[in-house]
Amino acid sequence: MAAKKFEGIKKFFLMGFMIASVGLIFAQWVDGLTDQESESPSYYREAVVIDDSMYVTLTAVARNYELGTGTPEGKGEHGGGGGGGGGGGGGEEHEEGTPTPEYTPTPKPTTDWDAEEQDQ
Amino acid sequence: MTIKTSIKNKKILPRIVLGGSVLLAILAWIIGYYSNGTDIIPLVPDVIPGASRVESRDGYYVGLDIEDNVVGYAAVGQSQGYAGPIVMLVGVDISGEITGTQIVTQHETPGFFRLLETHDFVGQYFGLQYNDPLKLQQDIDAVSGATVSSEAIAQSTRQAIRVIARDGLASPLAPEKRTVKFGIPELTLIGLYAAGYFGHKHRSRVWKKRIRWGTLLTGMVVLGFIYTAPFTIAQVIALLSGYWPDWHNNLYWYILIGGILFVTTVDSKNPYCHWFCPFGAFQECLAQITGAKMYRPRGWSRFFTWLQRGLAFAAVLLGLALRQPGVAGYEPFATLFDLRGTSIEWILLALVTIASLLMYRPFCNYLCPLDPVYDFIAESRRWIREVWKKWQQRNLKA
Repeated sequence: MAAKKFEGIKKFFLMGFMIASVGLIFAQWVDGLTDQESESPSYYREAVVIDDSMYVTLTAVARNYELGTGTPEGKGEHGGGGGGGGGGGGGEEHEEGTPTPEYTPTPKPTTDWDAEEQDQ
Repeated sequence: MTIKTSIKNKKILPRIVLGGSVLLAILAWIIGYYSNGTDIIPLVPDVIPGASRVESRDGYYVGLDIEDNVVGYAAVGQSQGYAGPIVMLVGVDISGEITGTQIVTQHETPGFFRLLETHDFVGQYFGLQYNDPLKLQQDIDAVSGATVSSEAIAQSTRQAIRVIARDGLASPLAPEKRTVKFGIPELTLIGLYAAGYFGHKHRSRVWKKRIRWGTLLTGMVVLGFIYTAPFTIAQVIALLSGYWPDWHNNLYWYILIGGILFVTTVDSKNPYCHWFCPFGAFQECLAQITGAKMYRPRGWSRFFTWLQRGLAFAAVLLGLALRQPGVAGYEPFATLFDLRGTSIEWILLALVTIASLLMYRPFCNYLCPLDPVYDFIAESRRWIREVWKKWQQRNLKA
């Protein structure tokens, strides 16, 4: 009789464990899916063609590429090859050569989208 | 005759389920393949400040301002993370400075991905130059607890940068050397397979038990607590989805999954769960404390077996249809071994821990999605063997 009662309690706890666990697993799935939607939109079809030759091409040699500073140069102000000789002691020369900035009106955006970008 | 019919019926039901589940899985795979992804161009202005128009060239994007001057370049790179590819969109301005990075697609477990967001991992790239190393432990800091994802993001970013350097900036970078990652976890894994094999074949029960406890504890400490690299359903889904990671960096993944599949298919034995599953070992240690025994009430066994299979199958379908292996997995392994997880994962772990003190391996016996995977392989194997034998017999008669 006691053994039967004990068996009943064990079954009850097992059912409780199973119901709670399955409920938690479903909650975990729901949590994971809602999280994914809000934080990481999947915009991209996974068919990126990765050029593997970039890893194996041993003939490619990196060359020093002179990069611009990102600041657009004034047309005609610096003359031919302007910034080339800059470097170390160019302080005074630079002051002489620096043109007075002039006001240039911002071009009007052509689309609404551009307008939004600028507002930001 | 009745015995024969009964045996036949016992075989028929699992095979109908087996065939049906394969068809459903294929359907989920197709849905997942065709429903993922749209256009990347709308994202490009986010990584190239000042770009009001985007031009798509062969494999990369050019950002142009209102006057049609080039303001920067963008490209995508892809690398395998923990549970699938991570696709990164990277923007660089004309001076070669990284102006934006964005994770376009990822399939990581939400807990791991949240870590990357909390630490603003991708934010580290802003302001770096295209020709900087952009490597972990050099100029980029990995996020502890999400190193696989960190490495994948770093690799994808470098890949995108290389495209921009070559095609956009016309200043190709030197080829990257890839080294094979082989260390303690890989060696331990091979050792555990070998020990499991000899333990299984050993005649002495005492030695078998000793070897088994040795492999279980090693698995729990090394593969569990130190490296947090147990076998998960997310890896199975990643495998089925075709998300096979680069073997140079993920040799462990191939040894783990390849070894399990090989032994289960060839020998019909499960080399993992009973011998070195870290979470199984944890539950067994708890059972040792209280002397908990296996509990499976009569009459309910079938129902619980099918419930466990149903959960595993739902996880596989979910993972394949949504292409999100990390989300579909529900094992609380990382919560225990890495002490990270959501509140739901912590509650599940607490529940399993308490239950482990009362019965032998409750998670493995009632919930783990990997047990049904072995059942599936074993049943498929039996079926194929039967068909093969029948075919051979027919050929002999003919």
